[in-house]
Amino acid sequence: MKTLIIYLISIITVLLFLTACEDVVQVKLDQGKQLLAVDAFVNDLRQNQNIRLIFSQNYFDNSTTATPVIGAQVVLKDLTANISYTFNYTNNGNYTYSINAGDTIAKLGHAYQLQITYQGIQYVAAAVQKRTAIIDSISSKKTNSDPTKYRCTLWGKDLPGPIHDFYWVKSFKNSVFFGKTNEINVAYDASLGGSGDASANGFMFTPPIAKGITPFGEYFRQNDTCRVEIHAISEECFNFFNQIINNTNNQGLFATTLENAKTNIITPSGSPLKAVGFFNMATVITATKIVQ
Amino acid sequence: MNSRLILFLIFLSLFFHLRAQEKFTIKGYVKDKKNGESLIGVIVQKKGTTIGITSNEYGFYSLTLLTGKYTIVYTYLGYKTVEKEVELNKNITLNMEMESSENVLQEVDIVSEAEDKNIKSVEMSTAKLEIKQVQKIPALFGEVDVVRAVQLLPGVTTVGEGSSGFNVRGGNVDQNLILLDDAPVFNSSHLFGFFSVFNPDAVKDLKLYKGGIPSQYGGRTSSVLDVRLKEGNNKNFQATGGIGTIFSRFSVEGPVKKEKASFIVAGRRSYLDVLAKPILSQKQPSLKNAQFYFYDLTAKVNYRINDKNTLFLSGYLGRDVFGAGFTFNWGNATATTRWNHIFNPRLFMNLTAFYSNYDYKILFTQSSNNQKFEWQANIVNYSAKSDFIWYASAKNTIHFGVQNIFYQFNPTTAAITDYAGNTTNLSLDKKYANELAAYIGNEQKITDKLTFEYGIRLSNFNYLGKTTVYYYRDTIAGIEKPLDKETKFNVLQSIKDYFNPEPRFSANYVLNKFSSVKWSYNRMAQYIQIVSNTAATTPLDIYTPATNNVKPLIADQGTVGYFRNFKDNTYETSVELFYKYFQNQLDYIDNANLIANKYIESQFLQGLGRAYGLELYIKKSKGKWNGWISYTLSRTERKVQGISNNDWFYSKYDRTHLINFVNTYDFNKKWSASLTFVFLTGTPATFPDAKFQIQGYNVPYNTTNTRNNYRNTPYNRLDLGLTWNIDAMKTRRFKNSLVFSVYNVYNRRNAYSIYFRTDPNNPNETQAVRFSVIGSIVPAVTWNFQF
Repeated sequence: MKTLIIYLISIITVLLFLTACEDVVQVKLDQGKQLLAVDAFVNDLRQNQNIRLIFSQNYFDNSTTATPVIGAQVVLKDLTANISYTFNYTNNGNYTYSINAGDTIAKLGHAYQLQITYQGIQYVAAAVQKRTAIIDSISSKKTNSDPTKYRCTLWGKDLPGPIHDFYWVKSFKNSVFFGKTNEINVAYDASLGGSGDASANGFMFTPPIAKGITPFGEYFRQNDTCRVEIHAISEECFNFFNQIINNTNNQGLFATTLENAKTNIITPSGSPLKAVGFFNMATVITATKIVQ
Repeated sequence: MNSRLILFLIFLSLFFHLRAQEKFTIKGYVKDKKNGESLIGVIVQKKGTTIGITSNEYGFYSLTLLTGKYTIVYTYLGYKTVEKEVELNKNITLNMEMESSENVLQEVDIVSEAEDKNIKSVEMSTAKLEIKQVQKIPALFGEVDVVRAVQLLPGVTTVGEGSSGFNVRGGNVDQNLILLDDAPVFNSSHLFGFFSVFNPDAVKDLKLYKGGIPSQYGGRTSSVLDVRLKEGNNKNFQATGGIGTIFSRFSVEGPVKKEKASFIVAGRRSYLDVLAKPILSQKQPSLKNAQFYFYDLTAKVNYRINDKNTLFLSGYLGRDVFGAGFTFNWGNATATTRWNHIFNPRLFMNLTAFYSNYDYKILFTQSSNNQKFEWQANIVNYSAKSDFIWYASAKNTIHFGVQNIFYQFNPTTAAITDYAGNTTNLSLDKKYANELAAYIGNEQKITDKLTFEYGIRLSNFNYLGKTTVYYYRDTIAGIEKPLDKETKFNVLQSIKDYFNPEPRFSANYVLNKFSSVKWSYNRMAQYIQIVSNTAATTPLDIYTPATNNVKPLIADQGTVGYFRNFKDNTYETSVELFYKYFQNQLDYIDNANLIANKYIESQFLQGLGRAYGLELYIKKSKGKWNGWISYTLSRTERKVQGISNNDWFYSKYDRTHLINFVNTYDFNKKWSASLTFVFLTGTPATFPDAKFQIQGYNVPYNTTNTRNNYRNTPYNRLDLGLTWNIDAMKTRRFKNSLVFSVYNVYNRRNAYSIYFRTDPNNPNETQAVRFSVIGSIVPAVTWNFQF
């Protein structure tokens, strides 16, 4: 629902405030305390799985890349099957688990625990791998204003049932991910939000999600490839992404106070280094379309 | 309930020992000679004494004196003072018509009597704005606007252009009781606060109470903005209008039955969308057919049945409409009917019944298929109230009355329909409540120098069915409260009720002819609050009632002030200090979901607030040069368990310094100019001090967890206006004028907000972006006419 508001507002802002403007400005910020950032999005795609550990930077530290966390032990435990997978350091903060052909460590319905041990302190996080949606097809259509530009739409369906599903819909143009924060496309069942039992449960994806695979201001050309991956995420992860959307697209009238995106990584009390970031186990479904 | 009634009666009876002997009463209405409009706040005095009264909101006054011969003096700013000899040996009715001094000789100051109302009156922390005065300060696009004028007063701020409403002495926007002819207006803005809903052509006057709020007002904790509509010219037909850059106005008024009944109808319609079309076609072709406009209609009729009875009927209807592949519209509707009755020369009654509604609607549809998203919400309120003024003696004026308000809240009615025609209902239960209040207050002259105004308001709020009530368990402050149970309540079944005594007290000690000291205390209870976590107030913000989970907001305010006039009351100055303490201010857990969430109350936190400050004010209201300079130094903070390390933090509308400089100068009858300058310390904001990458996204992070730890850059702006009264020297009926204005003269880009993002051209870099709502000079011309 928040993304809907952001959409409304961006249009209203353009309309109403023809005199409005945005300027990049210099702001003096204090040095932030160092944090351990955990980027642990593991999925069932048949490819090597990475968990990345880095130290946070000062907000305007644009000159250097993030410092990798080296020397941590990263173990993913499948609690349901009672198997442990050790992720080994490769480079750039990445700890990798190499998958054998045709294998996957992420199994639907299994409960997982992530254990990270760094400098004698153990950080843990839990996740259950949820089901993903159904994709029927991807369609493409010429835009009215320019016939060489196309927009793609996802034809897919949320799975009905008593439980709510949450999805992260990732779309790619010629294998390049639409990776801006205002392009994050997350769904609560088939729409942007819900509460309690009130949601678009079991629906076809509603326009903001379905059309969101072609982000606002983006387009495809003939023969481009449009690929979509739908990752099942937890409700907490859905909230985490919405918080990133809020915190980085916070312009204009409907700006909210910056509130830290809530992590699911547990830092033991008294630890001098606090962990942030997120751990999610995803079932993924993909579809591809050659635009014409 | 019975004990409350008894308490009320005891208070009432306290005043009955004040028995008069050999006394008679002069009563009547004071009106403008030219158009028959009643005049509010006219001082009616026994000549050479401090004994007197001011005319009330309907222009009525009543003065009781011992038998004898008197000279009664009627004084009103901008009007010729009238003296009337009376022989008082029976009750008499004396309706007075006063003549505007503007039409006489403006160059020479003819207001003979000293205008020292600010010294003698017990009122403090109030500001009365005459529409004539407001008309001289053009705001954005050269349009006169009453709320924009209110925003120039000391102690009044906003979070920025594009935000609806205003903040008074550290109070949130929802803490202002904005009354249009006694009916509350829930959203006072058009186009996100650029214009208010009040059509200046239909407004007679307005008064803002920031402190020392009398007992007849209640329901909001920080201020009362009492806007009174004109009754309409009861002598001649008159049309007034204007064509401006953004919108046009037109109003008609006149007698229905001469001197007995009159009406006024005023309307406005904006055409910004039409004007913006060429710009949009170039800049944003996809939005070239966008709709965005507002309209409003204000109407009032009154009928004077006889000397003792007058009826009024007034209404407002306004709407803002946006459309661009979707429809988004919102607006207020109010209707008020009032009956003024004079029981006897010393007992005046006003009986009011009103209806007020605020709603918004959002609709997305795909014309090619079934897909649809509908969303609406509203708040409706029905009320009846009676207000009595009993002019007990020349030294005691007693106000008392009762009010009942029935509320209906519709937080969300929404539905989604997908391509296959499946529909889901996202609607939430409606909520109902009843607010009952009784009040009594006395303005008592203790001695010639000392005046007290004291009273009490007793308010009761009852949260009612039919609705589903959610009970939550306590948890660590700052995280969502777990649901304990849900219970369904039947129609009008009481779920939770609250009772609050709200004492009010003000005092004035006159030091000498030109100076006085005043002090006041008031407690205010507020049973409905806006739910919003955005920096600005937007059309989507809607009130929610006090419930089993939400306690009513309580505010206590103490104020002291010193008032002094200089140069025969040419300059009015004041120094006021205030301290305000809030309990149960509504706040939210971090990352709260406040939209269409039936468990919304699990996200609420309630905490403390405090605001304190100093207001300096110099006003000149006579002569060619008019205006005021004010300086406010203040602090507004909150403390909520679960937010900002449980410590005090600046509220989002805290402004340390506020400087207002409002000037108008009349060169001659043809030309006048205005200059307005404002300076405000930047609003507090939460900035990140760290970042990290998750899935390629740069995530900003505030490692201190302190809220509002930085400030946006200061706001300052200069506006100029020039009015050319083309027909000033002519006697013909048709008059027209041109208003030239320049808003934001030195082209400052004031930061509305600063936000943090990844550089769109370089995904490895992060940057801060300042968003300015007005990023350029805004010149405008408006043509006004009257005939």
